[in-house]
Amino acid sequence: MRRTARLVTLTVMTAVGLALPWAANRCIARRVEALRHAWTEEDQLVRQIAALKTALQTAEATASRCQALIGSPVSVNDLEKAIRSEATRMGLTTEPTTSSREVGVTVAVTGPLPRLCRWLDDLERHFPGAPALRLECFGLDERPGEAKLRFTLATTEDRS
Amino acid sequence: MKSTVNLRPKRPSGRRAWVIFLTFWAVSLSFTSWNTRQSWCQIDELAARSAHRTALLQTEITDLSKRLERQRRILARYRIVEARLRVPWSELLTVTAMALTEQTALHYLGAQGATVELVIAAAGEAGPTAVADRLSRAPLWTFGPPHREGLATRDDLWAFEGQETKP
Repeated sequence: MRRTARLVTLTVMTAVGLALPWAANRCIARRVEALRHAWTEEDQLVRQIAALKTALQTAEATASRCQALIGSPVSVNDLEKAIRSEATRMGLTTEPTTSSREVGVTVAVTGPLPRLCRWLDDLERHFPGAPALRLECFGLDERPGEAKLRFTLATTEDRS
Repeated sequence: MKSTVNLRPKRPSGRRAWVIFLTFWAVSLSFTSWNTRQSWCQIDELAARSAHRTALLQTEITDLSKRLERQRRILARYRIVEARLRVPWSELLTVTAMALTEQTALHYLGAQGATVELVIAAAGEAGPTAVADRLSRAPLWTFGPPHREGLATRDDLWAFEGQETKP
């Protein structure tokens, strides 16, 4: 009876002695696997950063070349002032301009069509850095030969 | 007197074997625990370092992405500048104004990107034909044939669809 009890105890202790290191080993292996996964992700992030840096360098170089070609960016305030003064000088009627951060400046000018053509030509020549994104021209039925020009100018000024 | 001598070798007692087993068992488990604890601490340290580095890399990626997005917006504007320098809209407006005859009047002109929509008011069918003929000579724009403005309630409106001529 005593011998059987000893045998059982011996078996249990042997089992515990084997199972505990095995369980610890399994835990460690799982954590090492997680760590390896984290390192792989880290490597991917490093590669992503390298790609982003290359793309950014290319974009910055292209932007600075463009800026050198067309001149300094045009600010919204300068543009609004120029639009108003030039329109007034040419005898055109301007409506209040609206400007938005995303788009630029929207302006509406009314006057004879040939004069509007000349004014738009001047504006595009003097401000190549403020391209027109959208142009709309409405004929005025009550005043034949005259038109209302509404267009939106983008600015290359960086306002972000 | 007869004496007896026990010649059988004395068996080691079960207690001694038991003590030896217990000692080995305890030493083995202690070593395993110590070893596991060491590895655990080392992995903890490495994981913390990795998490910190990953966070730094993520921050850098966010910053670079923002800068790249800003540069892309700027470049998109420069692409529009390039298109407008090549085909200015003042030219389009001039072409339209020159194309209008005495019997026709400008009703609407809308341009965005490379496309343009032109609507003129003309009493007869001769007016739109003359305008189409003049528009066909515009070098930077290509206009389609005139057609009745479908959405308008007026029957004197004629529409033309135009496109920037590709270089």
